[in-house]
Amino acid sequence: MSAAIVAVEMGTSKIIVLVGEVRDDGRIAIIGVGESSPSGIRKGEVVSIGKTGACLRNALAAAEASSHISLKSVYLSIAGGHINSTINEGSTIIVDPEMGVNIADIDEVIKVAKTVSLDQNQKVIHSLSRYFTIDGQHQVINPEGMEGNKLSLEMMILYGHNGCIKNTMNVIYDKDIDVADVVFGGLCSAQAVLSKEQKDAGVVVIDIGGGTTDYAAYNDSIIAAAGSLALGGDHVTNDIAFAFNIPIARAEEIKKEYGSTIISSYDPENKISLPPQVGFTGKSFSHHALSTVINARVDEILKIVKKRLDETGVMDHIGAGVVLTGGCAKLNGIDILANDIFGVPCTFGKLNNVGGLPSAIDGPEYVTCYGLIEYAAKAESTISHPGLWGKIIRRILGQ
Amino acid sequence: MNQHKVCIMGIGGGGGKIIDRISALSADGPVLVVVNTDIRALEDASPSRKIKIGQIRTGGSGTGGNVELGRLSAEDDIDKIKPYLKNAELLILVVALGGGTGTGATQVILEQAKRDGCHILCFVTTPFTFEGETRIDCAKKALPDLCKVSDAVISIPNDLLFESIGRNKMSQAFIKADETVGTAIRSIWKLITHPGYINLDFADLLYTVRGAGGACSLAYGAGKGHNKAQNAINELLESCLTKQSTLLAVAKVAMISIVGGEDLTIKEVGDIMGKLNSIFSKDTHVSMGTIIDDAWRNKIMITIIFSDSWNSKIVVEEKSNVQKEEPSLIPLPQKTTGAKIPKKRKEAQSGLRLDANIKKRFDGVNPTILYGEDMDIPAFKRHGIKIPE
Repeated sequence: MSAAIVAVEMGTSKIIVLVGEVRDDGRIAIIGVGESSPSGIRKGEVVSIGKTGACLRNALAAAEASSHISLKSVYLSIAGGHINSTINEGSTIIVDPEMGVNIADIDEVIKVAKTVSLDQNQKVIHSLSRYFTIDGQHQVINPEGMEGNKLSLEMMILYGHNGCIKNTMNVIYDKDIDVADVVFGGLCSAQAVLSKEQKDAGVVVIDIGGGTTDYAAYNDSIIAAAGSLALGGDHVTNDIAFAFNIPIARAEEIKKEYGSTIISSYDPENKISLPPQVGFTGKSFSHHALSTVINARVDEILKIVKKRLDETGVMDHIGAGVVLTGGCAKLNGIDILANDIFGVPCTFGKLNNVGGLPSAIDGPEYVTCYGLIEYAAKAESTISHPGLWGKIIRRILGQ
Repeated sequence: MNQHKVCIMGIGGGGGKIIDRISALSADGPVLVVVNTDIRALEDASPSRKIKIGQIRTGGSGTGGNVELGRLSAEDDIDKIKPYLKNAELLILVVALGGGTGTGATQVILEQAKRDGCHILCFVTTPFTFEGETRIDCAKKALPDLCKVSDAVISIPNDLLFESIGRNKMSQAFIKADETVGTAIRSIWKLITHPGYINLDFADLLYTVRGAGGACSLAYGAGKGHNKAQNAINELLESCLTKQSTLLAVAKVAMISIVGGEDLTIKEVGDIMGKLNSIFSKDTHVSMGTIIDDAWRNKIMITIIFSDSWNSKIVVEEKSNVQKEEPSLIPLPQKTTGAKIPKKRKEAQSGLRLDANIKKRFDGVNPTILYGEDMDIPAFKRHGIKIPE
């Protein structure tokens, strides 16, 4: 049994800390959980360092108490509208064409393809290999030993705003805890819920959280698109609060209790009543009105994701459909709405590789954290395999 | 309102023909634009601004009644239309519903106009019964969508419009019908851009039409000669558009505009209003205005916009909203002799209200701007979706 892995997701609605262990059979067991809110985070970015710090402290303390482990180093997932991706290609001349491509050539081309010119304040989060090309022969997955003169590599570079990433990490450093690695939330979700078969056939995972909507698309098991939108459940809540002139906290309750993305038929009798409370005079409105507000927002979010994916051309190769996860996946009827918009089957993400979950943490909002543990487990296992195999895995993982 | 800030846009074949008539009526005046997928129809149209859309999709030969094609054509070429919308405070759209271009492209153009902050007034004619179920269904489906996006929709059923002139030769009947609608639109344009002695303005028009739930009917009557006032009122009352004045008797709201030359007398206006008031029921909400246009010397034209349903509550709510949007820090402009019009919606929205209420949850965070829209503003509000109580 290997050492425990700690995953931290600083989400807009709450901060989640999961402590996991990789069992001998390769499955992951969760041995500690901590969560806390309000997080002082909006749209995935820290807006109140004090609040976020206090919230993180609570979540870490709870995780330490339940796992009986003192937390020293954590993996951090990040998201936010500042995160974007670009495709970069690098080429190198093969040193000894007759002997074929060797490891040194591959290392060299990776180095070149990773070098991308970004704005000063932007930072690369991942460089993910897509395809090699040897002398015009495209879509080579592993070029080792192949003959040719010129080796090229296409990489997907995921990058984000340096300041935003640092702000998030600093909150953790403040607690005298080390950040082992930073991973994009969309990749974590993909890791947690997508099977190899799905990735082969082509699949999109959309994680609609409180502050951000993260997506990642795969085709032939290779990353095809990824990004993050600063849109999420918070927007749904805000729309409800504005539409019916009720406080944000009440709007959030209403959304969780009655929220549906399918516009229900109009029935004036079928009303939601909010009883009066201190500072609030009470209110009632129809289910029809509520679902109209929610539908308008969720429909728009999904359509923007589709637009982003359409721009990359990946939608033509989505054999395994769309997988939904994140807190907003709990909204009633969202799979039907997504099905209409994407025109492919839409399902809810199920965790692949985790055993023995308490039901309290078996919801779509925990998916990113589980994915992060799996991701970290894979990354750590490759360090103990320094040879070629480890190298290839590290490349696939984008390290 | 500055007359150059009004753009009258005809979409599709039917809309284009009406624009032709308007341009024939006046050399000066509003910006006239025709948008069509059919190149031949555009060649016929006389106004100077012609916008050809969907060249790639249709090859310039119209949509053949395919609404989706009309919509896609407008989406492809919306950039050609945008400059006119940007410069307009009021967009008057003229469409014959039922066809592919008219029905499909209109929705796209309306949505763009809304984003550009135009006030929108739609004149639509609905197809003849004999044109068949498909076209009628198509028009019926499109109409509620237009009402959602527009400030006001005035619909004129072709069946009624042609009942009075149906015995004319076909070619003349169509010219006459186009002229009728053209004149009505021109009189409305005139009403809200030119001050008359008795003033009506765009706010009055909105008051009338919004209270009616966004959709109204239109009727007209014209007369000339010595007894021109009497002739005009007779034509109006006998007109099929008022169903021989029975529709007026049950009208809840009516806005009347009287167009005449320099020779229009107070007595004539008094006679017309006296006659109309005797037909309306006591609780009908009536407003009226006059326009002096020397092209109408020795002639009178009465245009009436009316509806049999009207709810003052809706209007009051709208008005109170408007007040909230504009903080009273800036003194309200005094009503001048010219017509008043609410400020462009875009300007009003960038004011206090948005930051204070709509985006509360996102205070102090960078706004999410995607594809030119501020996504933090509620989606239903940006898309003009009405939330029922």
